[in-house]
Amino acid sequence: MNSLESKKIIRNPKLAWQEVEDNIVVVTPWNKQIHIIHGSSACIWDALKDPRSESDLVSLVADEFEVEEKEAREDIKKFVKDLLIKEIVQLAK
Amino acid sequence: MSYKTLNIGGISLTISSPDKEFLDKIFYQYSNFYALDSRDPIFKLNLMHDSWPRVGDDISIRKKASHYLIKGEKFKCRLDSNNKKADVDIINEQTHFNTFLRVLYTQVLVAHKGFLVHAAGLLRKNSAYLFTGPSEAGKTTTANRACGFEVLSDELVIVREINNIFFLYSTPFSGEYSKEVQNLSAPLKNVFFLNKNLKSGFKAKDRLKSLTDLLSNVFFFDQDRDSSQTILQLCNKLTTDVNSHDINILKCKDLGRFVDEFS
Repeated sequence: MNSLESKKIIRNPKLAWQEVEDNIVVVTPWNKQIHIIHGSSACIWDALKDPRSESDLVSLVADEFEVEEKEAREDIKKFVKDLLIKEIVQLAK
Repeated sequence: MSYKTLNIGGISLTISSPDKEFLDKIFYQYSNFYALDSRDPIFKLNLMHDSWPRVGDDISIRKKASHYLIKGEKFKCRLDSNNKKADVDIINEQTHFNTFLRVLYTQVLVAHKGFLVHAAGLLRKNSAYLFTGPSEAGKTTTANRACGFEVLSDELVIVREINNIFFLYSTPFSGEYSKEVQNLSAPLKNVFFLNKNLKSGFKAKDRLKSLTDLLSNVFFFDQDRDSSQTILQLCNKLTTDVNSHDINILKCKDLGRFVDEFS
């Protein structure tokens, strides 16, 4: 099993963010990068105010967009990996 | 000890230094921003000139409780935001003071609902216009072509929200613009994003792109989350309240007429 699947992630508390027309604009102050989480992923952003596992997010997206979980799984994996690399999310303690 | 007061962006700063000659040189350069009335400065700067031979330091701002430590190549500043004062150890050379002052203002402005942005600022008929863009975008070109306008700066201008209205302020922080800049401000009417590659003269810009492009041009160093959140919220409000367009300044033959018709 992927080691990340067993862990939970949460929004990085050190960043600034703002909802703009169904998108989320995120600023990571330590490197002054600006990131956009587009509308379809905004539900994931909302969920990540609390610790969530990848499986939690897969279930959420499958419900929200009425797709099969196996369809959503790869996209969620990539999305979460990207958020972790950019330090927009972190592993929850 | 000698004292002088500056007023930039509506924020007055009294500066003291044991080096009267240095202070006089600074105030000669900033003469249009000199405030005769020093009774109620928002901030007090105390300059010290102990030797500071370090080189190669990037500009950094670190927060510790209500204090900020602002460091640069030839300056170190301990800013007490509660008591509105700062002790600054700085090499008494004008270029280093100029750099320090810009960096200081990035910090002071946040508490006054403002920020510095890389932009040319123009004023006409009591309205202000922001022309923003990175290096080589055309800010100085815009300032040089601005017949019938007052130029607020060709490099860095101050945006502040006061009573729900955004104002643009001139600054003494100029680029290559050679003429003197007066200490002026006006309500911000339009934001233009300089784009030399735009085939048409101008194009409406969507709010999300306006926000992210504006943020890219904000001049800011603090890595503190709360300060960044304030700047983000201000920029978001600005792009909601004020119209934004991309503009190719080289295709605007008569900028004054363009702005009048556009507004």
